Amino acid sequence: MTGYVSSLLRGNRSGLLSGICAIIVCGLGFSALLGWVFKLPFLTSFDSGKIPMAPSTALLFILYGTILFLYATLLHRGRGIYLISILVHLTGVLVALVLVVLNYRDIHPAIEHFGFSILKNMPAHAHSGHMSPVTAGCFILSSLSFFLLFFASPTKRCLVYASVVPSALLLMISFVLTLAYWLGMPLLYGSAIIPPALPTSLAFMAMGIALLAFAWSYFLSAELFDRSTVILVGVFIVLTVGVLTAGFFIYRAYAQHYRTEAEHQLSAITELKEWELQQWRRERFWDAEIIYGNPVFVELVRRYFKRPLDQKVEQQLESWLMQFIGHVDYDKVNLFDLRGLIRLSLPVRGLPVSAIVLRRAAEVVQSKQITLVDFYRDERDQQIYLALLIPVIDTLIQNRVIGVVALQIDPRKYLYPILLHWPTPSKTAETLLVRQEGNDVLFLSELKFIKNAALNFRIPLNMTEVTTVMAVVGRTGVVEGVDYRNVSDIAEVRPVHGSSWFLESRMELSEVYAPVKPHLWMIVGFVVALIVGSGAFLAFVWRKQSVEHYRKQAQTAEALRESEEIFKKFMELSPIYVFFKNDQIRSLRLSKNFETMLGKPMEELLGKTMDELFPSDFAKKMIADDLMVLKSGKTFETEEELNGRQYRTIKFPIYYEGAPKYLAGYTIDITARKRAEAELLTAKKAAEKSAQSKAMFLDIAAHELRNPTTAISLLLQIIQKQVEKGQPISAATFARLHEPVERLTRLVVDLLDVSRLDRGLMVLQPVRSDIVLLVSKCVEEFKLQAPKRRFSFLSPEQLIEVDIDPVRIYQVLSNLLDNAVKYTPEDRPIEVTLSPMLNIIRISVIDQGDGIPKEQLHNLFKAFSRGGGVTGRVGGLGLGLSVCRGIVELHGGRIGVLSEVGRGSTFYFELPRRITS
Amino acid sequence: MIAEDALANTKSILVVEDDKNILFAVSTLLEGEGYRVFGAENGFAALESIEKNGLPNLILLDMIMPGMDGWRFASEFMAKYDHKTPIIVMTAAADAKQRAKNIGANGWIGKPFVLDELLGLIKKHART
Repeated sequence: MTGYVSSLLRGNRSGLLSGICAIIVCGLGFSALLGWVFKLPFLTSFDSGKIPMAPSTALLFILYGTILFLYATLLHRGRGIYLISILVHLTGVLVALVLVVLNYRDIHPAIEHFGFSILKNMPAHAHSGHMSPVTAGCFILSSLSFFLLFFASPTKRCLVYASVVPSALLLMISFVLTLAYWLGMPLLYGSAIIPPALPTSLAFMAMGIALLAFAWSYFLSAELFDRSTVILVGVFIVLTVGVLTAGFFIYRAYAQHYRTEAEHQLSAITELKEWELQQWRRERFWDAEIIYGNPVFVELVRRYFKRPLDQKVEQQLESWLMQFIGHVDYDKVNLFDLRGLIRLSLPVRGLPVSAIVLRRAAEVVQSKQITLVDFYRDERDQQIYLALLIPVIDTLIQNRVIGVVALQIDPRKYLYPILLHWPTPSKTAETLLVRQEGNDVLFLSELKFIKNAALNFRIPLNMTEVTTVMAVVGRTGVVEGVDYRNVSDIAEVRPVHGSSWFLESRMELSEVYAPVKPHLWMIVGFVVALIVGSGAFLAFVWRKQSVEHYRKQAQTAEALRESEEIFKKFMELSPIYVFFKNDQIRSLRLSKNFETMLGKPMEELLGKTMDELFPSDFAKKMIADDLMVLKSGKTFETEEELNGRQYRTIKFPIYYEGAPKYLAGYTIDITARKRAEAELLTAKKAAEKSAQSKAMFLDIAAHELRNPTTAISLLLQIIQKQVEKGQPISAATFARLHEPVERLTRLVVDLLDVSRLDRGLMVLQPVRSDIVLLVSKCVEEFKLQAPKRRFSFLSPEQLIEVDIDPVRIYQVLSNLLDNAVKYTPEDRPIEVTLSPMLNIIRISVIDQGDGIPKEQLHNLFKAFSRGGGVTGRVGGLGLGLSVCRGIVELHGGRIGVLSEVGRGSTFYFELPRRITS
Repeated sequence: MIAEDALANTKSILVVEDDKNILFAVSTLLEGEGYRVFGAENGFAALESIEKNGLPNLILLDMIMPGMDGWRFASEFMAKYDHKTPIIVMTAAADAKQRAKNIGANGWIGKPFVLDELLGLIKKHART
């Protein structure tokens, strides 16, 4: 207990318990000591008639208790306290050992009393006031437990376990002793061993509890006690208490049985002996009656006294008296005359007579009564006798006593054998006959354990604990006390009626309880076996449980490790971003792919908020979302964009101890999906548009095809009518057929071109050509076709040769010019420019028409669309520009338009100077 | 006067058609049948012609035209004049019948058509 175990006591209930128990130990010792000092026996034994706590025991209790108290309560203990505690316990053990040895040798040093006198009315066990060997043993157990606790340390925990053994033993012993006191059957009383006092037993119980509390606090602190262990210990305590109690009761039942048997035996024997004594006395008086007032005998005595020499009378008288001599226990007969002279003496003449008999004979003369002289010692032969004095009364002369017959009785012959006789073999049983003489009890018969006690040995009447005294002071029946040697005994006492005698049949308690001893050992054996057995069983159960417990713990740990491993792998390999955050929105665990996403190693990512990782409004919004999830406890879904990539995040709270404590979530990169979705949407729109365009195209195509065919058909009808009517065919009408036919032709050509371009079947036939010449030719052609129009072309001076398919490029330019003509009012000029640049040639057709609305610009060059839509003012399939684009792009160039509504449009196309393909 | 009488008795037809060849051919053929024909290349021209020549007995109307198309012409004509002048839609569209109904036309004829068809329709609808 070098501060280690006891330090565990501080502030907990075990500490309080130890402290209280220590105070109890101290208090019991102190009160006993006070009892010795102020001669208050109650304080030393708690029950007069019971053994007191020895002063030496009391002193040791005070010392032990003080040290326990210091250890249980003091927070800081100096070396002094350690040294003193060791010293006290060593001293205690030494004293106890010495006393045990001395006790064994039956030496009881007076120094143990510290000068206190043993109080008179204390129960006089032979060695009352001395420490019981049991007490000494208990002190040794206490010290052993203390030392084990003292030297225990975190590295020597087994010492704490070991300390439980002596502590528990101490507690058990003191418990049994106290229980025995409580049940009124204290142990070891009446045995050779000094029994421990009740306060001693109580103090040891407190000490045992205090010591166990120390160990208990250690177990608690070491967390060795789980619920099941506490239950097992509880069960063990209950079992132990139960077994001890049961054992004690069985023992008590045996003891009671033998005691009752002894009492019955004593009662029966005493009753019998009393009856015998009474009978004996009665017989003696009957004997006396034979001659008392017998006129024949009186006449003989009278005649003998008158004529002492009359042989005949003397012979007759002798024969009268001789009948007594052979009888039972009369050993001598004397006949006194009134002067006290012995006139006749049988069986031998001239034997002296005790003065006591003479004195009593004189009294008999006066009383004229038959008198039994009680036990007396004959001063001449120092033998004990009784005497029967019979007055010889002369009825003729006014009942005058003329002599006394004295029948001397030798008790050794009959009376003593009656008393000494015991029907069963017994070492200590005996019957005593006593009478009161003054303030003493005088023993009339011989004693088993004191030689020559009859009429010599006396006990003062104030020794009330002596059973013989009890008889004399008037108690009858079974009494318990001590005998004439101060040995505990049990006795049946009763007065012998009609006499001054008291009869006592006694037996030592140790003999009474002697037959219990084998039972006691058997019971102790059973109790120990049961306690050890139950302890072993419970220990086995405990061990099995703890093994199971540790096995489960190991399993759990293994499962935990495995689960952690799986989780780690999951976090490493997850293609989905997985994150866990705490309630501070700081990342706890992140899947490894976050390193790539955020471009930082994991060490720099963990424990950070998103705002710390990439300070931005986006991060702040994310934190706000996170906090909202934690606050609302609801799952949250969002789409986020970071560094040009799009993510879908699902986050949800993890409840811990009833509150959303952590945040978890997944983030999926949906960039590709989004793109695909967008593409799909575009494609769908395009498809829809294409379908729409195709429908529209068909519509337009129908119109465009029908118009020329209608014209052709109607013109042919006119011609037919003219032919039918025999009129000349109108040349004008005929000429009109050209235009619709040409339109149909061009439509077919355009459709073919579009189809070719679509299917990649158009093949260029590039030739090195002068582009300036080509443009000039085309413009001139248009000037011829539409002479009203104002075409202008500012041709550069130099010759510009490029690799082109001149037919196709001509087609492009003529298409653009055709459009310009179609969409420009007649009075507006149409300008064509050619701008040679470093690597390209740009050709533009500039009109001053209505211009094209912006929304239509992007569709301009696509097939099956036409500026102005269905309701446009100009016919045509709108295939032209699409064909143009195809051709220009085949040349590796590009085509474009700049337009402003109300101001006109500029269509241009650029051709590389050399075809790269 | 004969000529005037003849003019007075002859039914007049307004042909609104942007295709000059068709306009020419229809006009020539109808005139050959004895109708008085006014031609117009678009809606504007048609309205001008009505302003100038008075209401015709029947209007032959092409739908797709630059400038004012058939729909606009029909609505403006009906708003401005009466609803009684029959309008026959000449169209190349696939859903000609629906279109004719939409603008409140009395009949329709799909391009290409032959003269007899047209004359049949005109005779059926032309007002006196």
